[in-house]
Amino acid sequence: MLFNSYAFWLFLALVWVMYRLLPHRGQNILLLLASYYFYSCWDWRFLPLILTTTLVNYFTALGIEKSDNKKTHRWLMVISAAVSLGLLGFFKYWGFFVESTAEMLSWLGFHASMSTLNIILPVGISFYTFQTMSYTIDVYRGKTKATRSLPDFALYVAYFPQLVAGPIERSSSLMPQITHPRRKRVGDFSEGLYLILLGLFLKVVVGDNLGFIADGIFSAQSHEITGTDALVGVYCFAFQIYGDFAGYSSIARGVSKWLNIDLMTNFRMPYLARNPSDFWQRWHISLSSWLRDYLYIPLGGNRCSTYKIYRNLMLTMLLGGLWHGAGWTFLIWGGIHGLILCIYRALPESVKLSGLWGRALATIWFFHIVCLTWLFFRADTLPQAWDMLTMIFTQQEMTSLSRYGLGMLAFFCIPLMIYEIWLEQKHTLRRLEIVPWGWRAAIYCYFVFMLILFPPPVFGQFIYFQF
Amino acid sequence: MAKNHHDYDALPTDKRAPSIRQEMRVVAVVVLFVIGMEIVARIMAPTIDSDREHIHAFPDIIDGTAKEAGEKKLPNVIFFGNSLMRAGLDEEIVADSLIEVEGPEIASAKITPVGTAMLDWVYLYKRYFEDSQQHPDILVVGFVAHHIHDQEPIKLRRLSRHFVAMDDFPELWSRDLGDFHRIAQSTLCHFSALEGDQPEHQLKLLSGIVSDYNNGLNRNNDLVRAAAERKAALKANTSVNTQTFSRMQRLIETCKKHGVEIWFVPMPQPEVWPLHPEAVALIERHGMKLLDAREIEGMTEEDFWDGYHLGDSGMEKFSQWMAGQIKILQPQ
Repeated sequence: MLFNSYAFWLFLALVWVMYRLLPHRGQNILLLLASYYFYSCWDWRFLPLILTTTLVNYFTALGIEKSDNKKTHRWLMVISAAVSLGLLGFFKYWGFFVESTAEMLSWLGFHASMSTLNIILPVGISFYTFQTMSYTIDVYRGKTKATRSLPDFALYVAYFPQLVAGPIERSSSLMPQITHPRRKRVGDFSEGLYLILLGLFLKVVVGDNLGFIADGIFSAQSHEITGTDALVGVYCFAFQIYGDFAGYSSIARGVSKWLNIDLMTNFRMPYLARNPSDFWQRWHISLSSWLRDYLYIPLGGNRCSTYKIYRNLMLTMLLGGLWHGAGWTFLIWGGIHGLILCIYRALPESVKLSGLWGRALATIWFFHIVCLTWLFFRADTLPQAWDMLTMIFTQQEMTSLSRYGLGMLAFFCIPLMIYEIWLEQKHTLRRLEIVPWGWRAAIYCYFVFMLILFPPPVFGQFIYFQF
Repeated sequence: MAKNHHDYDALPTDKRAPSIRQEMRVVAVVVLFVIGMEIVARIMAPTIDSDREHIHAFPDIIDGTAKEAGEKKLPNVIFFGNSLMRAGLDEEIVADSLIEVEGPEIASAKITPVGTAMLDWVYLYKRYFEDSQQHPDILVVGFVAHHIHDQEPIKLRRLSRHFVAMDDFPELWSRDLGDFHRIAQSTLCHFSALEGDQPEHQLKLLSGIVSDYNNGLNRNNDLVRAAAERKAALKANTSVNTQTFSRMQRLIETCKKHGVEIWFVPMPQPEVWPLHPEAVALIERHGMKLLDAREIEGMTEEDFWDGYHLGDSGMEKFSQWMAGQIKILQPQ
């Protein structure tokens, strides 16, 4: 059940009506049942998986809180992490691990016949595993209290608006909103409406339309396209993945607003970033802050020797890459981002551009660096990424495909970027909510016009479901 | 700097947030805007493109041919299909050739919406011929291989808006669509001109704004299609590729019920293409006719203007051939 499907909106309407009629406890049970139904629409066979993760983390967190023994805490934490990461590792990385081992053995001259079992990736497993782990780690660190109510905790793990593609919530933010009665707030309807319309625009209009072009160019054989086509394909993918993922997060937050629950901001005009550190405060914020809090800082963060800081950055970004998918291209994507962070850290302040033009130049320059990483992220194989990269620097030639791609990029992205620059200047993501209502109506009319007249040629899945 | 606008609940506070009442005004404006777009779409609908002009003229075309056939006691022949039949057949040449070969006089018309296939034809026939009880005597259906086997709807929006009658929706939903998303989409398209004709509006706007839109889009489509075919070819090694013809059977049964004779015409192409034996068996089983035009004498690659559709010379050859077939099968 996709957010951009009619079935989802019918489902939401039914849930919303019942939700409004129920008291707090009933609302939570309703949301839990709705979340399990939502998840089972993809594949009911994976429900036991989410239930296992829920039960293991619920009981280990309770165990940690009840015990005063640090050794017991540690053991329970290890059990919880082993189960959560074990399931994630098996379902997500087993095939990759076996295939890579077989390839390496055959490269070394050994014959290896290994079965990968054709494991299907359960949708959203990376998201709910990280969210659940953050809860248990926070209980272990004494930063949050373990909840006694199993239904409440189960809802924390499976809450449907953010179950399959985030944002990855923290217990300190989401859990109190589940356990305490929610109050109706004046701005929830308008903010929800804004986030949903913006999200649908990003996903359906920007992401899916440009994704169709990116799919064409990335599926071409190298002799079929020029370097300009390849470059346009990378630009299109950059906006596809942004529209797709930021769109999903925005819809998730909007839907949740209508249920009076706040989810965290996951994107903040990422392509206006001027440097890597700025970028990671704008892109997939819920993951980057998770990696910072549960990996980078425990590794030592910035408070260690220079060598160790670089090591920590590289490790964090490599794991961030691997989180996205079991493949060498994702690993390289993470590696390049780690390297960029290290280089940026090593640069003296004098090299960093300032002033209006300097900032604009830095933004454009950094956007292209990000695009370079997207090339590896999107390519099916490493040789394909390399071929396209080579072509970009050696075979520039404008074709009808490049002109079409650039035209479509301009048509869909220029209004979006103008809007984002305006938000950036106003220093708020929610500026539109406090302008005179006529302006808001005009922008919503634009969103609706684009949604009705420019749906994609093919009905699009959300990219991040596979992660 | 990040802190200035990082926090999701930084602005607006409850005090500054728009009230429900104010937001309802915004929603009302958006609703009025959509209604306005729908009205414009309805006004534009019959003239968006030549295909829509043709579709909107179906009732008049069918009615006119039926009247002519009834008044003059002539066989009512409908040339049916898509752009292949539209580009391939000239009714005037057919009529002149029939006079030349002393064939029968016929009342004829072309019903040839572009880019259609068997699923469109099933519903188009039901809506425009069966519902108005104006059946032709002969339905000449021109096609190539990929038009007749069961497949996903090519253009669901147009199918729902223009070809499926209200009464036939339950059949479309239960037999041809199945999933909720497409059922909802088809219903919406049936009632809304804006939704039903959306691809044409999109094409018009984008081809006016984006440079080289049509060529680039076609190139991109070719790349996507080629990749899909490469994937399908890989799969074909492991799975058996079976084609079914249930929709073709439905068209035949509908026509048979009303005594309409169908002449199936596999259309000429630059290279002779294989006709699925199951389709041939189905045609024969129901006593319909198969007029094989895949190899018309004297037709060469030059007779196709774009490697797919017949050009002027090809049209002349095909139309003369068709007149010859009519003379043989429909003696005076």
